[in-house]
Amino acid sequence: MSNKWDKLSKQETMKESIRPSLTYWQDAWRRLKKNVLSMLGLGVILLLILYAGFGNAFTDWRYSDQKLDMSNLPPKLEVFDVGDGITLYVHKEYTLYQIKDNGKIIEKLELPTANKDMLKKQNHYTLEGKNITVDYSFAAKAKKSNDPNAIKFQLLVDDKVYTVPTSKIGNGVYRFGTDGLGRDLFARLVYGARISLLIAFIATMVQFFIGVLYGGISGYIGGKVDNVMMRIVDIISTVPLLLYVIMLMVVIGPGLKTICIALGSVYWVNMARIVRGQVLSIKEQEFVLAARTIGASTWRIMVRHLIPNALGPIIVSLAMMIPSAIFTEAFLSFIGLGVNAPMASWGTLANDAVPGLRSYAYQLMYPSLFISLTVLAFNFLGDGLRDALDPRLRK
Amino acid sequence: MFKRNLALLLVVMLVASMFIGCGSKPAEPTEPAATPTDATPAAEPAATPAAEVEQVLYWNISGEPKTIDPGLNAASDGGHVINNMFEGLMREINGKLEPAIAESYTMSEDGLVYTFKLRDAKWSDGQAITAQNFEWSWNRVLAEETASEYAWIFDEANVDSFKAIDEKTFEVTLKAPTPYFLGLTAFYTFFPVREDAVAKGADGAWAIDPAASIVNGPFMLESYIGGDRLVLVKNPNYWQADKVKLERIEALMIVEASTYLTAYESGSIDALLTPPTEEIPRLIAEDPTFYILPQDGTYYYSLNTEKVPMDNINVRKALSLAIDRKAICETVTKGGQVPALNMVSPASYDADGNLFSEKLGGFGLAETAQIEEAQALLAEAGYPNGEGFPKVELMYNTSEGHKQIAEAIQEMWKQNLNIDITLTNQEWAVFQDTRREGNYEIARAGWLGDYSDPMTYLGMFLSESPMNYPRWKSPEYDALIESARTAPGQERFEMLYKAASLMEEQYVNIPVYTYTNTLMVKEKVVGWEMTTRSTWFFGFAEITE
Repeated sequence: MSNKWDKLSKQETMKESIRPSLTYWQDAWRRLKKNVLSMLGLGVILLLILYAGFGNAFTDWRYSDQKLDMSNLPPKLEVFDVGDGITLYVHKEYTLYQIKDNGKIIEKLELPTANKDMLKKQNHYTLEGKNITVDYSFAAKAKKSNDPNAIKFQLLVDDKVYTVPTSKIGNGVYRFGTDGLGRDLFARLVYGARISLLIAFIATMVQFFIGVLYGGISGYIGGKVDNVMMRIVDIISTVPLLLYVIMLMVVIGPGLKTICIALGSVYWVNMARIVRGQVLSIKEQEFVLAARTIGASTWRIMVRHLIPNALGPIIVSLAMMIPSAIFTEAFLSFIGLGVNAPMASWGTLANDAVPGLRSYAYQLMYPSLFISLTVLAFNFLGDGLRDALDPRLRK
Repeated sequence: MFKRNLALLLVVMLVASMFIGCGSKPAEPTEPAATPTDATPAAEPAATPAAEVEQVLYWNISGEPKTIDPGLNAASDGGHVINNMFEGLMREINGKLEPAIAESYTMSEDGLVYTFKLRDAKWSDGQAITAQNFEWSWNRVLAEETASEYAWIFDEANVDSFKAIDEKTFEVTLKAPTPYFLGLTAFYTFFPVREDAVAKGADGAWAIDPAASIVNGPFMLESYIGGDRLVLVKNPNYWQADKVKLERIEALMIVEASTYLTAYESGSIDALLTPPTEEIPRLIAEDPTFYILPQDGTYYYSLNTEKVPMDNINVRKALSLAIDRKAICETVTKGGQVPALNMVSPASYDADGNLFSEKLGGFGLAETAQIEEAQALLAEAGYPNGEGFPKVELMYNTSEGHKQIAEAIQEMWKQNLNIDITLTNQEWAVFQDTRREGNYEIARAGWLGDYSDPMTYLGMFLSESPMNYPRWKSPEYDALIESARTAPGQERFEMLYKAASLMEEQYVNIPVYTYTNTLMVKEKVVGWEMTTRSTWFFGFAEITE
C-alpha cells in the first residue's frame, strides 16, 4: 500500500471497520448488561412477572378458598413426634393438628367443648387410643418472665411429657402458611402480585407517556404555551387524589379500573414538571441548535435529542413511582376505594396482617418481602437504565 | 408598566401572606386555654404524700369521640368519657341502680309518676345542681334545633312530661308504667348539663373546651387535644369526691389496635377495650388481665326488603340458614361471642323470668349452617343452585373485624348456595347514611341495647323508625309494639313475643352473634367498673402497687 490515495479493495475495507455500528438501543443494552446490579434487578422483575403469571400452578388453592379450621397456620411447623407414627402440631391457639406424610396432610383434631378446660388451661384430646393433653397453664408465667424462650405449654401424651418440638418441617399444604380465615397465602400473594404489578405498570406508563410529552412540549415551545400548560398542571396538582378517587367511585364504581384511572390522572403531573425543567435547560445547548439548523422537525428534536438527554431524572422518578403506586393502592383498598375483598393486593395483605403481627409475623413478612423486592429491583434497574440511556456517557 | 405593577402586587401579596401565616398561630384553638390549667397538676403532687402511688390512670379510648356532650352523644366511645364526667339521677354501681344526683325517689302507685328528690350536689364550678338543670337539659335534647341523635329515647322511655317542682324536686310523668325507665336515668342522654356552659358552644364545642366545660361527675376536663388525648382530673366539687381516689385520667386516642396492645404490654396504658382479634387466643392463655364480659348487643346483617332479590322471603331465609354462626364465633371473632338466632340479645327476661330470646326461639335457624334446606329454599325462590342469582352487594363500614366476618360469610354463601356476593366498604359516617336511605342490598349492622328490655331491639323495626334498615313495614307489628308500650307486665310480654315472631318469621335480618366485651385492665388498677350497658366507670377506681 504505497499510495495512500489509492482506492481500497473490498477486502481491505472489511478489515478496517472492526467495530460494528450500534444503534442507540443496542448500545444502551450493551452497557446495561455490564451493570450487574441492574441485571439482577431485571432478573427479579422477570421472576416476579412469572410468579404473577404462573404462580398459581404451584398451589391447589384459589385466592378466595377458605378453610376456617386451617386459620393462621405458619409455613414452618414445629412438630412433636409422639411415637407410633403420630406427628402433632400445637397451634398458637393451643389447638392440636395431626400432621401426616411429612407435612402433606394437616388435620385439625376434634375438640368438643367438654374437653376444653378453661380453668386449668388444658385441652384434652383422644387420638388412636392415646390421651393427649395440651397444657398451656405456663403461658401466663412465661409471659411475665419476659423471657422469649420460656416454655409456654407442654404436651402430655398418656404419661409422657413433651415440651420441646422434636422437629421442624415445612408446611406441605400451605407453602407460605394461611391467613386468619384459613386462606392460602401463596395463592393470595400470586393474586396480589397481579394486581400490584398491574397498577404499578399502568401508573408508570401513563406517567411516562403523558408526563414526558406534556412536560417536553411545554418546556420546548415555551412562552405563553408553557405558561398556560404549567398553570393547568398547577390546578390539577392542587386537587387531592382522594377527591378524584371518591368522585370516580361515584361515577364508575369501585374496582381496579377506577384506581388505574385515578392514579393515571394525577401522577403524571410531577413528571411533567421535572421534564419541563430539564428541557428548558437542554434546549439552549448547541446540539439542539445544530439539529434545528439542519432542519430537524420539532418532534424529532424532542424525541431524539431532548428526552434522551433528560432521561436520568425521568428514570429515577419512574423507579420511585412504582412503590408509591403500590402503596397508594394499598391505602385506597383499605379505605374501601380499591379492590374489593376477597381480592387481594400486596398492600391489603400487609395491611390485614398488621393486627396479628405479634402472633403471626409471617403473614406480614411475605407481602412486605415482595413489596421490598419489587421496589429494590425497580430501583436497581432504574439506576442502570439511567446510565445506559444517557447519551452523554455513550462511548 | 403592567409587568412591574404585577410584580409589585405579587410581592405585596407574598409579604401579606407571610403575615397571615404568622397571625393564625396565636389563634389556634384550645392550646393557650390549656396552658393555665397545666399549672395545677404541678402543685398537686406536693399536696399528696410522696410515698403513695401516683394516682394516674392511662386509658385508651380508641380514637376521638365525635362528641362528649351528653345531650348530643350517640356513640359508645363518647359514652365512656361522659359516664366519668357527668352523673344522672341514678347511677349503676356493681350492677345495681343507686341514687346519684337524686337522693331518693318515689314512684306513684300506678307507676306513672316518678318524683326525684335531689341531694345537695354541686357542679364543678361550685354552683348547686337544681331540678331546673334537669328540666332544661331534657328539653334541650328534645328541642328540634339541638338535633340530638338520641332524642327518640324519650319516646322509648314513655316519657310524657317532666317538670321541676322546686329547686330540689324533679317530677317525671310517664305515658305507661315502664320498668326500665329508672335504668335510663343513668344513661347519658338523660344527664344534666348547664345552660350557661352549653351557651358557649351549643354544637358540643363547650364540652371539649376546658374553660367552658362544667360537669357534675367525678372527673372534669383539664385539657383536650383532638386526635391525641384528653385529660381528666378529679372534680373536687363532686358530691362523693372523698371516694374518688384517682387524681388524673389520661384518656389516649390510639386507633390502631395492634398499637394500643403494644402500648399496654409495654406498660404505657393501663386499660383498653377490644384488643385485636388475632391476639385474643394468645391473651386468653397468657394474660390474666384480659377479660371477656357479656354485652347486651346483637351483630347482624340487614337485608333490604325493597331490593331484588331480598324482597323474596325464601331468599332471605336461605341466606340466613346458610351461615355457620358457630364457625364465625370460634374462628373469626374469637372473643367468646355466642351465635345469635334472633335479634333480641339474651340479656332481658320476660315477666315470668324466662330469657326472652330463648323463649322466642330461632325460627328454624341453628348455630351451624343448614345447607340442604337453604338450597331448597333458594331453588323455590327461582334460583336453583344459585343460577341466575342477581348481582348482590354486601356493605360494611371500614374495619378489619367487619371485613373478616364479611369475607367469611361471603365464602359460606359461595360454598353452600353457589352465589357470588361482592363486598364493599364505606367510611362509617357515609355508611350510616347509605344504610338509612336504603341504598344497599345487604348491610352490616349492630345494636347495643340501651336498657334491659326486648323493646330496645324491637322498637327499631317500627315502620317509621330510622333504624328500620330492612325497610320492612307491617301495620300489625306497629300496632302490637305500640300497644305493648302501655300494656302491663304479662300481657305486654305476650304482645312483644307476638310482634318479635312476626318480624323474625320474615327473616328481614340475619342475626350473627351476641356481642361480648373484650377488655384489658392492669392488675394494679382496682375498683374499676364496667356497667351492664358496657360503659367504663373509674369513679371509685384506684391504683395500687
